[in-house]
This record gives sequence, structure tokens and C-alpha cells, in this order.
Amino acid sequence: MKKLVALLVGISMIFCAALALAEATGADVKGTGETLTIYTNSGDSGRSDWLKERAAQDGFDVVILEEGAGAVQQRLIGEAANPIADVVYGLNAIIWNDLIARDILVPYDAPSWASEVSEGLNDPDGYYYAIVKQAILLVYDSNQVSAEEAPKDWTDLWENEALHGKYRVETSLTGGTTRNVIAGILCRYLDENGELGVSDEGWAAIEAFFQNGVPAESGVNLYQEMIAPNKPTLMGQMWSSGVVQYDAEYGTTSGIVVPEVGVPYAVEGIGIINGTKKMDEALRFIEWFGSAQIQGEWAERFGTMPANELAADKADATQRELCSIPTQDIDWAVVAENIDDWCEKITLEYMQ
Amino acid sequence: MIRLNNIEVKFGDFTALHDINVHVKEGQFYTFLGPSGCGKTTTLRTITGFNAPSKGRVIVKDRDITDMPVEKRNIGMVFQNYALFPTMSVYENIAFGLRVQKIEKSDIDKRVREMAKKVELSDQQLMRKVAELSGGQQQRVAIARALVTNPAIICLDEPLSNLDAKLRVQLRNELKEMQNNFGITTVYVTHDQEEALTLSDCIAVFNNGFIEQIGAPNEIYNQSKTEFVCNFIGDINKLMPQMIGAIAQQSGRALDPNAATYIRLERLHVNYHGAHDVVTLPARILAREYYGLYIKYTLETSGQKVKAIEKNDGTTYFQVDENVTISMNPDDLMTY
Amino acid sequence: MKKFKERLGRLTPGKAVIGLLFTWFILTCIVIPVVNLLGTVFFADGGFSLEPIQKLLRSKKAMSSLKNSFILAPTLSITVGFVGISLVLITEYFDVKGANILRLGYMTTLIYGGIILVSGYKFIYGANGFLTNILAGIFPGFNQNWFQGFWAVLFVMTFSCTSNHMIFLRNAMRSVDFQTVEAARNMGASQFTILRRVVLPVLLPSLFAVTILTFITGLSAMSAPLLVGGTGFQTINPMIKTFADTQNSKDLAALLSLVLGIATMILLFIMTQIEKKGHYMSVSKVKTKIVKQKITNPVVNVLVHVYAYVLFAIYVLPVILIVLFSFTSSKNIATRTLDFSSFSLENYRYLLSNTSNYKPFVVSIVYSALAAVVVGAIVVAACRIIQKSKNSLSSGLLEYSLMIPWLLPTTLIALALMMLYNQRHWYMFNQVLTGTMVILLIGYVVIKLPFTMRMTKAAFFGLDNALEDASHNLGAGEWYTFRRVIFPSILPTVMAIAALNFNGLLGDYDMSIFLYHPLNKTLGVQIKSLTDESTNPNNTALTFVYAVLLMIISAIVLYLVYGRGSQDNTTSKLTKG
Repeated sequence: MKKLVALLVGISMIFCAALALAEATGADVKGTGETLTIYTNSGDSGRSDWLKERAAQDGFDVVILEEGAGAVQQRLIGEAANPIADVVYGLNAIIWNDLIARDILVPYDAPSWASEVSEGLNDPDGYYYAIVKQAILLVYDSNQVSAEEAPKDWTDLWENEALHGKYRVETSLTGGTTRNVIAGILCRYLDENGELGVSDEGWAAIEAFFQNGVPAESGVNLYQEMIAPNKPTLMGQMWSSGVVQYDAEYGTTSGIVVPEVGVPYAVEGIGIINGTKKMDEALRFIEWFGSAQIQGEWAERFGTMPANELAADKADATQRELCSIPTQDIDWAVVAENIDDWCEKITLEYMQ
Repeated sequence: MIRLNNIEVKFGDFTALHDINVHVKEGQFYTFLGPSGCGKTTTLRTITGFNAPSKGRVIVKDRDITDMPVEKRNIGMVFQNYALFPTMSVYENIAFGLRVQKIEKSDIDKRVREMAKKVELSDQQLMRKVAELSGGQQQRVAIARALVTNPAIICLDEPLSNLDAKLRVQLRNELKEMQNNFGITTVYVTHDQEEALTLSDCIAVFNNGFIEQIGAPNEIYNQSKTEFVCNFIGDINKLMPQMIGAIAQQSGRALDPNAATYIRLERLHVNYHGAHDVVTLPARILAREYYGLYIKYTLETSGQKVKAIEKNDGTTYFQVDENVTISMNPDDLMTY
Repeated sequence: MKKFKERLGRLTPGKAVIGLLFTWFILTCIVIPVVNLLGTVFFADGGFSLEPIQKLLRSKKAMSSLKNSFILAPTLSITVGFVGISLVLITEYFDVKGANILRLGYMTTLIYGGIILVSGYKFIYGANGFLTNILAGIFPGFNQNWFQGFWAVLFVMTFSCTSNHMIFLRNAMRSVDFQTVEAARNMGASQFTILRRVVLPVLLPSLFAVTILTFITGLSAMSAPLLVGGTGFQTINPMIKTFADTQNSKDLAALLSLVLGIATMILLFIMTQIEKKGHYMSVSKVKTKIVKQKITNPVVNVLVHVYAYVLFAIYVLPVILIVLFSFTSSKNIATRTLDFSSFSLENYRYLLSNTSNYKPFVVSIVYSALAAVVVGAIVVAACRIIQKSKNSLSSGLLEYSLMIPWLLPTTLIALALMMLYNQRHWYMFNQVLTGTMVILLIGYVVIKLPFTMRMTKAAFFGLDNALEDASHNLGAGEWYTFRRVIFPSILPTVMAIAALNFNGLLGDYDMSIFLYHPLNKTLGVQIKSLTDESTNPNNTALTFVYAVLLMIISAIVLYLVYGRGSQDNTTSKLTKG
């Protein structure tokens, strides 16, 4: 009964709010205090606490649920018939496209800051707009590997025998970074007639990639493996904001591989859940959160690379440098459609 | 007091009791005797209500209680392994039945302590856990627990089995004394004929789900109705055709040498004629067992072995291989 | 028909209500969600296809993982059985010096497990581990990665899966009637004969029950193969987990777990049949408490002591190392260097300074405690029903439906609940559960049902039926008998199971991640997010700090359960009457 009352009150509030504030735009937008439920995979290391507090200062009341990207995705799918979340931010292009395909997101009018975002990061159909970008890199321990010895692209890992047995491959393919890496490799071999849209050459490549790598040790991260004296692992996948942090923690100096084709970017975006009852407050929140002001503060605080170019100078130098690597051309819709099947096939057939 | 009318109990397809009829009178000590699996415990559990008869009625004090649930019957019971509640103290075990009746606390305390005194349990023992008591003490707790609610009837299911012999005799006496004191109608289950004979006013001998004989101990012992009963009660000699022939010849009675014929040990007299003895046969001592109170001889006569018991008078004492005679009264023969 | 009428006649309103409640609970919380999920995954494209089966059959990795699981489970049952029995004998039967300390050491598996436990073992036996370094010092060219593959997995799991032995088998040992031992000795039996012919048969029912659990643990092994299995010995469960986490591969996950689940059910069925045949109950009226047996052969005695203390070291060292390493950094952990100068409370400060880190502790403690109580209550009621109506169809149905959650991995059960109850259904009173606080509780209860069922049932069957008869005979009704006689008798076991369930749920991640309420984050989720390597480079050290904190809570809970129970141990000597 209480819930019903709350619901009625909520709905009537939405109508009132919609009438009163339908025109609000701009970075200095304020919230009404209506509670928004936000799902994200980017809420840890104090992010959600900071966001909650910072949003409250501008009149937003937010409840944040933070989980891994895959779990957020599953949760949203599971709750599709009766959504609990209003807004979701973070994730990556693969998941965004999957959610779009499942009709879980609703397209919305571009916020005012959308035009300030680097080209090609926003969803062309308006389902999500980019807030943070993360380069997915191949890194090596430059204390143990010279720039000459280092690979020039992912393909070198299996094509150059000298690198065999020296790079780490993941054993569980559910992580966002891992899937970006796989997408970055397989999308070079797309072939409509091939199995799961990938040519035989592509499958041979991914097989060689997994066969010649060192399977990741569970519970041990890449940098731990690289510095462990008895581990042959010297290189592997890493996201850009992790490079600085890990180097500091483990005393390593990461070398960065810059492939000619560019690197995949995990674009963290922000979208609205199809079926939210708080559309207007959600729009206001997005307008606020993606603004150069807030994204700048976010970048300063958490070392991320804002997608908003007006906030880019707030990111630290290394981060900016890492994220200046060209973007690899990837058809995310194709990836989103196939990535589960790709990973399944790899797990079943190619992993050691 | 208790009437079992035409009781039949089935476990699945197995018929455990066939047409059982028993009448226990008020104040009687009534024993169900028989080997294991004969149906005596099943009959007892039918009275207490643990088994539902498929046929027949259970009448207590002229009231048909056949369909009355166990907990409503108020028939005390002492279980074979006492079934004392291990999680409770002795006191709580005894008080259990009273608490169920929601009797006032002070009243419960009074009655528990009174009962404890009657069965000679000290206040200290009352506070113990049951596992800390000896077998004899446990038995007294079990009896106290069964009697404290003043049941009209108490049922005891082999309460003395698996206790050592001496304790058994001692507890047997205590039990009898208690029954006398309380004057309560008692149904007692045992496989021990000695226990049955010493304790009972009346005995029902069970075999294979049937009652073979009902009667006073003396009756059961001296006039065993069936071969099973005479075999089950006490030690007995089975006579072979040759010996039966010899007895028939001497006494002039018409005895069927092929009938199952028995005689109890104490009815054979070694080198001595009882008042009504008309048959005397030569015999030889094969072995003897000295019991103090009496002496048990194994003898050979008429081509078979027999046993006989003689009172130990301190003077008569036969040697092995000694040639003697045995005398008897043919009336003592039991033939089936 | 007549029988049915008879039964109907005996059906009281109370029984009817309980029957309805159980039917409702089993259908809505177990059967419908599971069937619904299986339907969705297997009939995803509108029709059933054999494709997932073909995919698995084609995959060498899947087949070899499956094979490995089926090798590990029976092997483990034997090795764990051996170690488990020896732990019980050392602590409860033989006179071994320092048994109290040894017991504490052997019980460490009760307070930690999973990845943390295996990591602890790796500190000792893995590359650069303590023992490995010693061996490498003695034998030049010693393979640093010697601790890998089947034997490593078997070793770790053999010692880490003895928790149930330390609880249930030990209880059984305590109930051995010492007079039987004395009797056997009196008849001239040797110590070994007594052990084999007199003591072990009494332990058999409990041994059965814990062996089933070991077998299931072996089948669903996860952390040990992942961490020390290497590429040579991977089992099926990590693969199931991966597929369950992937939207489009759930059919594979469900299929693989059904294979494991069916194997489990067959085993359970066989064991239940065997169990029915043999009931080893003490018939003695006066039980004597066990007196620790001195080992008569001096050589054997020394060997047993050495064995006992080697086991002790195996059990305790990982715990000590985990505690020590929790004060260091992730770098120290990675390089296995215990540098005392680098010890700091920084990790603890980081965790405990953040106020939002407290709340998950409270949330998880409340949820776990509630779930432990609810699942205990449901199972006790179910066992009572089964006990009362032996051999009837409905009791069999009841028992096996409560075992259903063993058929599927936690992730899938979470998804099943989430997917079903994000819509209104009349059988759930038209309530949407997804997103509420209740659904996580349901999830916790459901996943703990099978284990609780298995162990509680054993306790019920160990009860002397005469106790119940006696109570009825004294005028007590059904409910009073249960409350005053039956329940107190099984309470120690029920409490022990509840404690294990509580400890198991405290750090749960797989269920929580899908079902927790946004406002009430659970500990497992919190740990995962704080220690997620994508945001926190010091994650490994933090994982250890959390592990230590969890160990402390678990230890307290166990102490509360066993500390209270231990009063019985001080029972005074038997007084002869």
C-alpha cells in the first residue's frame, strides 16, 4: 500500500515537474530532488560516494548501484519487464549496442554537451552519449622488454615467435577489456560468409593468439605476473587509466604498443532506461553529469579521460597522451551482435 | 480394566498379531511373555496407542479407546531403553507429563519431588542430566516419569533387558515392591520366563503373533497348554520313545511313544521316591552342576539323556558314573 | 482409493496448511523459476535444438574439463575421507598430545575458503612459495612450478574440504558408546580391529553424508583448479561460471550444470538407498563417554604424532600467511616477499576509514543470519514431515525438490529468480520481487536448501523414535513433542548447520550481485568492487584484509555456536548406581 502511495505521489510529481521545468538545459542545470536510481560499473574507488555528494549539491537525489559491466548488463536485461533503474552510465560500446538491440534503452534528445564530445563516440541514434573514454592498450614492462623487442601490434604476438609464451591471455572472457581486445582482433577479419561473421583466417589468428599466450593466473593481475620472478609473462592487455595506477603500485614503467590501425576505445556513455517513470529528471541529470564542468571535476578526481573535449585539459598528461592514440575502426553493432558467440567459440575451442 | 477384543495388527502385508484377546483385571500384574518377534511388544503398543489395530477393539475401563490418540490415553509407559529425554535434566524428565497438563508450577514441583522420593532419587540426582545416571537410576527415572501423572495403567516394555544379572534381580524386586505399593494395574513385556514367573499375577504367552496360553504362573508352568509353552517356560526334558515305553510298562498306562512328551527337571527324583512316584528307572550320572541351592545332574536312562534337580541337603551328593535310579509320577508328564 | 480416503481422513487443518505452504514455496521459489529459466535458455529461438550439445561434444576443452571433474570427485572423496577420518581420530579418539591446539588448527577450514584459501596454499607450495624456495635451495634446478596440475588440486582440496568432517563426523565420534570399545578390547581385539570393526561402523552414516558433500564439492571445484590446476587440469565449473555470466551462452552453462546436477542426484539417490538399509544406532542404555585411546605400539605412536603435527602445519600455515600478508602491499604479495619493515595498517585503515564500508557488513550479517534461520526452519519442518510419513510419495517429492538447487549454479538460480519475478504473477500475490529486499533473501535461502536438507535429515534419522513415543505417551501433542523433545535433540546439529550457512553466505557474491537492493549492498559485492583490479591496483592486498575480517566474524560465530555447546564436554563422570 505504501508503495502504491509513493508511486502515485511520484507520478504526480513527474507531471508537475515536467510542466514546470520542461525547458531546462545547460551545465548549470539543477535537480528537483526526485530520486533517481542509477546503475553503473564505474562507481568504485569512491566514485559513487563522490557523485552522490556532488549531485546532492546541485539538487539531485541519486541512488547508485555499482557492479561490473557484465552484471549491470545482466541486471538490466533481467529487470527489463519492470525496470528499477532510471539512468545507466559507464559500460562500453559492446554492451551499449546489446542493450539497444534488446530495447532496454530509450533514445533521447542530445544534451547540450553532446556536441563537445570527440567525434564518433556518441551513439548516432541517440541512445547514449559518451562521457569518458578509455583506450584499451597492449602494454609491456619496459624494464624487461626493450622498445625494439616489443610488439608493434597485437598481431605480432602470435606472428612473431620471439613473443610466444611471453604475453598474458585471459582465461575468462566475460570482462569488458578482454572483450574489447577480442573485438579489436576479430573485427580485422570480418567476413559475412565466415563462421559467425569471421573469416577462417580470423579464427586461425585468434587461435594462434590464445595458443601462444600464457593463460592468466586467476586472482593475479597482469602487473603482478610481470614482476613475478618465475613468470614468463611480460605483456598483456590494460586500460589506459590503469597504466598510471599500476605503474605506481608495482614500480613498473609500462611500455605502450601503438598499432597503426589504432586501438579500441571503451567508451563510457550515459543512457536512459526504457520504461523509466522519471524521464525529465533523468534528462536533467544527464545534462548536468556530462557537462564539461562535472566531467572535468570527475577527471581531476579519478584520473579518467573525459570524452568532453572542453574538459580534456583536466585529465593528467599521461592520460591525455594515452588517449591520443588513434581510434581503431570497429563496427560495434556487429561486435555486439556476435561477441557472446565469439567468446563462446573461443572458450570451447581455442583456449588452452 | 483392560480388554483387548479380537485384535489384529498388520504392518504392510505382514500380520503381526492374530485375533488377540486379553483381559487385564484392576491392580493385576499382567505379563506378555514370548521370544523376540512374537508380538508381545506390538500388543503392548496397541494398548498405549502406538499401533493402530486393523481389527478389534481396545477397551479400558469399559471405554473404547481404539481410536483415541496416544497422548489422550493416560497410560504410563516405561520403554525398553527408557527413552529418557537426553536434553533435559532428571527433574524435567519427570515433570514433563505434568507440564503438558499445564499444572501449576508449585504443584508440579511438589509432585515431582514426592515421586522422586518414592523411587528413591535424591534431590541432587534430580538436577543431573539423564546421561550421568546409572542404569538402575535411569530405570527409576523412567518409572517415576511414567507414574507421576497418576495413570490408571502402566506398561513396561522389557525394562530389565540388557542390564547385568545382579542388577536385574535387584531391580525386579524393586519393581514388584513398587507395584505393590502403588497398586497400579501393570502390563509387563518380557522374554525372560523367570521374570515373568516371579513378577506376574497372570501371564500371556505369545508366539508368532498368537497367544498360546493365558494363566497364572503356576498354571502356565505346571499345565502348559502347548508344546511351545512348556518348552519356553523353564528347563525341561523331552522323552524319547524308548523311555516313554519303559514308563508305560511300569505304570501300566497307555502312553503313545511317538507323542511329544515332556517332564520338568524337578519332577525326576534321583535315588528317592516321591509320595506319588510309581515309576522307577535305573540311571547313571553323566555330569553334575553344583548351584549351591540345588544340584543339577545329567543322567543316562533308557538310552537317552535327562536332567534332574535335587535340593542340596548337604549330605546327598552323587558322583559321576555312579549308578542310581530315577523315580517319577506319570501324572507329571506333559504330552502334546 | 480407500487408502486415499483414509489419508484424507487423517488430514487435519494444520497439516493441510503446512502442506499447502510447502507446495507453494517449492513451486514458486524453486520449480517455477528453474523451469522458466531452463525454458528460456533451451528454447531461446522458439524451438529446442541439439546445438548446445553438439557444441560441447566438439569442444576438446569442455570434454576434458568434464572428464577432469569426474576424476576429481571420486578421488577427492577417498582422500578427503582419509584425512577427515584421521583428523577426527587424532582429535577425539586417540590420545595425542596437544589435541586441543590441533583441533583448532584443523578447524581453520571452517572460517575461510575459495580463492583466499588456495592463495594461502600457493604462498607455500607455489612458485617462489616458502616450501618451494626451500626445495629449490636444496635441489638446484628445482622446477618452481612443481605445484600445478591434478596432484596440486587434489592436495589443496584434500585438506580444504574437511570442514564437514570436523563438524559432523566429530559429533558422530562423540556419540560412540565407549562400552563397545571396552567390550571389543575385552574380547582381545587389537586397536586397529576395534577401530575398523567397532568405531568406524558407528561413524558410517555420518561418513556417508559428508562423503556425498565431498563428492559434490569435487564435481563443482572452482578455485583450486583455477589457481593451481594449470592448463593441464581444468575442471568444468569455471567454464560453467563463464558461460553463465554470458548472455548468449546460458544454454551451455545450464546444460553443463545439468550434467553435474544429474550425476549428483544419482549419487544422492544411491546413497539414500544404502542409507536406508543400515541403521547403526547405539542400543546401550548407559553410554560411557569415550576415553582417549593410548596408542600402544611406540613406533606407531610416534608416527601418529608426527602425522598429526604435519597436518597441523598444512592447515595453519596458509592462515598465518594470509594474516601476515594482509598487512603488506599487493607488490609484496605478488613477489611473495614477507618484509616485516613494510608492514603497515594502511590496508585496514583504507577499508575501515570509509564509512560506506561498514554498512555492507551489517547488511550481509543481517541477510545471512535471516537466511540461515529461515532455511533452518524450512528444512527442519520438511525433515519432520518426511520423518513422519516414511516411504510416502509426497515425502520423497518434498525431499528431492528441496535438492533441486544443487542442479544449477548459483548464478543461474539468481537469474532465474530475477527473470521470473520482474513481473507480476498471481502465485506471488501479484508482487514484483526483483529490486526488492526480499528477493535476495529468497535467493540465499534457496541455494542453502540442499546442504541444509542433507545434514539436517541425518540428524533426524539419528534420533531415537522411542523419545517421541515417550512424549506422546506422557500426554504431549504433536507440537509440544516437537518443541520440547525433538527440536532440543537436534538443536546442536541445526545450530552447526546454521553457522556454516551463515559463514558461507557472509561473503556471497554470485547471488548478491544480481539480487541485492541498490540501497543495501552486500559484503561480497562490496569486496568485489573495492578489490576490482580495474580500479584498485592494491586489490590483492585488500582482498586479504577482507578475508581476515571475514575469518574473524566466522570464528566468532563458530565460537558462539560451539562455545555454548562445549558445556556438554565437561560433563561429570558417570556415577554408578
